[in-house]
Amino acid sequence: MAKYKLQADVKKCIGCHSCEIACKQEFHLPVGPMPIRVVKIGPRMINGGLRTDYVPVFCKHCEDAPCIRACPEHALYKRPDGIVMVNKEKCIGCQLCIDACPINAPQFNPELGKIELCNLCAHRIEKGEKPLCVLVCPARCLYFGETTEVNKKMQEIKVKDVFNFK
Amino acid sequence: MAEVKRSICMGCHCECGVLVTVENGKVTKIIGDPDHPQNEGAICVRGMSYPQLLYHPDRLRYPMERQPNGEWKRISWDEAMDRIANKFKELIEKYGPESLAFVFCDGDRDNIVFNVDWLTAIQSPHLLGTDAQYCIRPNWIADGLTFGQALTWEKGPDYRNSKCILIWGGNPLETHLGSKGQEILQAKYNKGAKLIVVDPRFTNLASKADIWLQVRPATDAALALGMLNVIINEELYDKEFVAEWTVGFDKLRERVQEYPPDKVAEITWVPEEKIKEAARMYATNKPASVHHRMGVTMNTNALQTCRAVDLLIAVTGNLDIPGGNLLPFPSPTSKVRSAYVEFPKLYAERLPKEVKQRRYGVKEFPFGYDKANPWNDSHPVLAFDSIPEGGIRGMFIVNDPVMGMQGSKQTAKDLEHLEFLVVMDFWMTPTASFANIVLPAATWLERDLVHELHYPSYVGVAPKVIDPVPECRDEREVSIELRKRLGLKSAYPINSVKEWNDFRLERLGVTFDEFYQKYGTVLKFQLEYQKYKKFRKFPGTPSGKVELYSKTLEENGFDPLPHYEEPPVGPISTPDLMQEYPFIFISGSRKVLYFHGYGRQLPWLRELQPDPEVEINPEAAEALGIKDGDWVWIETPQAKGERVKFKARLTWGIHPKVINADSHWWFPERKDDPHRACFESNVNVVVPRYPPYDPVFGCPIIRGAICKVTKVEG
Repeated sequence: MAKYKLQADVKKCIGCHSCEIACKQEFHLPVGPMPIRVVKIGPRMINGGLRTDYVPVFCKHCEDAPCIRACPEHALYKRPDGIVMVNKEKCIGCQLCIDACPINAPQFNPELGKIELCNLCAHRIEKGEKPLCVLVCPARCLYFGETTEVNKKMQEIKVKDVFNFK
Repeated sequence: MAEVKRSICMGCHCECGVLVTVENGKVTKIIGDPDHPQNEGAICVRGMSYPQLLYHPDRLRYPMERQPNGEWKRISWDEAMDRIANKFKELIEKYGPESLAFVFCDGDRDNIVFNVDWLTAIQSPHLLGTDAQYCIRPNWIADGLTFGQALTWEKGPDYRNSKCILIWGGNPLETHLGSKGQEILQAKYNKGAKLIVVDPRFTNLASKADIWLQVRPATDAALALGMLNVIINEELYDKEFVAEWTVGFDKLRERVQEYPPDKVAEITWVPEEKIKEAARMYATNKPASVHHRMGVTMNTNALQTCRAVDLLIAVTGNLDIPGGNLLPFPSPTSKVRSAYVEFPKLYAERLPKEVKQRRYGVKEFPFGYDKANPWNDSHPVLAFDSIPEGGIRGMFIVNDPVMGMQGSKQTAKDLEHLEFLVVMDFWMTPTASFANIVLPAATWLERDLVHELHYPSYVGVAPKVIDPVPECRDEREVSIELRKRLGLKSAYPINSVKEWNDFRLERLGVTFDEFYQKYGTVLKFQLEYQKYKKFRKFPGTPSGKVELYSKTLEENGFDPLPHYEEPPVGPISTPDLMQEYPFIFISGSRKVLYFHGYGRQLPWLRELQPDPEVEINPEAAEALGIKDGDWVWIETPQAKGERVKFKARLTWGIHPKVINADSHWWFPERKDDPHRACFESNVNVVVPRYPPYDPVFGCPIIRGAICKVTKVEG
């Protein structure tokens, strides 16, 4: 199991783009790639009322990552702590990883001709810091930490919602 | 070497704490400051994109003068200041001091004080806030009449302690995300606060609401009166507070009988049950807070609408209590000298009455622009109207009225009529493109600033993070220099920005530098609630109580109790006109990406929304053969012969009879056009600035106009 986890509490997200721009700042990204981005669904009619959902999408660092299997150059690899990383030296920009990924998490950087992928801000984790998107999120909908902790936290949040506890 | 500096963002009016990374003298990253009490680390995209703004190739980097052939020529600061001072002197000699005006809207308030300093020294009464007739004035005056002082609209209510939050005609998640926006979300998700949203559009905030009231634009007064009807008739009001602290309740009770929920439902298009449900939710979840913004005030019944919402706050006793709407004075932060106290004082002290009485708007709107005017400013539209008739001849502008004021083409023509125009900005904006001289402004990252205006209970200090990008200058320094070159005496014992900052903090017993060394960017004070209990009255109202019934309004010929008036155009007032112009037009809702006219140059922001958009209901669009992504024309009956172009965004989140177009859209990349295609997709081209006006302030129909939509062919 991956050591770290980033998870969104989807019901809180407002689609403000702060995570997207924070990520661009941290990784000096041009127009185009967004390793974290929010997909807006709706507004649409559900049970007689309107509903809009905002879903932050980013690499889930799969146990058996299809992107790694799809990469012909072995540019994608998994660290011992479970983070999926891109070796930019090896990446040829074929984008087969994007095809293989169920949520299009890998993003193509047209300036470099290479792939950008959320690495949970691995360089910040090393310094004991959280990923930048988590820090700036105005909706506080992103949770990051050791996987067991995040799972526990999300469990608590969801149960609270279901039973409408305050 | 990377260094992280603490500062305060001024990308909008939130003033969020930020941590700025500087590498080799350049800003490379801006994130939220987790230790700032307001935003606690949160930050929006506008603040984070400032590194792109600072070093953008299109940013103005040096003063320029427009040549007779229309070309821009680089000049030195010395030359620029000389030209400005000489030309201003010439205009004063030829036409008198009242031929000069200073024009502002958003941005730094300190700057107003410095410009009013030279303006009052030459004896010109013409300070023009181009949004002043509808931005904060209706709230300010309605509150003053009701409570004796304005509620803390800019600082926000006490959301953090609210059990019910009612957001009316605005979306803090787009406009005030780092401050009020995230506070609302935290109150909702961490403390279980109820959320009611009144908005014709299903915004992201509405999507999180317990109740969403999809109101017909410009009928908000009726909705508020309907809610008051429910609260009073069902006896949900705060009886003790009403008995002890208000006057005129019986008359209000009588008045609201004219607004039963079924009738209000018909007027506002909000179902009767929902009106009742919202009224009950607001009245029974105490403490509750209300926030209403431009959706409510940008119409011709602004004062009465604001009064109606104020009375909701009053009868439920949600006034100056933890979790309610707050009254600012006496404010713990008022030891810091505030721009909003200083510049009206300059007017009062330095101008003789007869000069003050020559302000534009005094004659036409004697209440809103004279008797009850807290700022002593001139009515912007009437002042611009004077230009072709030889009224105002020279202007110093630090904002973008061509985009921000209604009647854009008329405004541009007026600017062309001026004998001399100076514009100071970050960019060659549409307004700057009409100038004789443009000056490059420094951003908050390049200036030493004191912050108090938008904070409820703290004071902030933000020393500059970097030296200004070469030749960009602090607006305040320029005003001081201008005053000196005009040979005028300042009203203050100051000669530099540093002295001004120290002067502002004087009563705290520290200098600007000492403050930062001692407290960092923020010094917190204790917020005091229910100050009226201490005073045993509401200082500022004639009766010393909350005036549900306003004698002052009555004496000035206005309705002493709030009422609803049909918008002058619309399905009820002009059904025949609606045959040809079938949509109600919300002109200019805001998006989180762009602060007014700023930001369309910045690649990260423009990527997220490259084109100006108009929201249309899919059913309405289908009838017109319009598909999502089609370009469409918008036309209004008030601006015959004009049309503006937007990309259709089909959404179920808008009523089939209403459309909503983006505000302030111009195309900085269109360098083939000297004015940057500023009339192509600018809502204010089709929203005129002439009457019908709100009778108190002279606000034209902005958010409740009517229009037609046609597909752009070819």
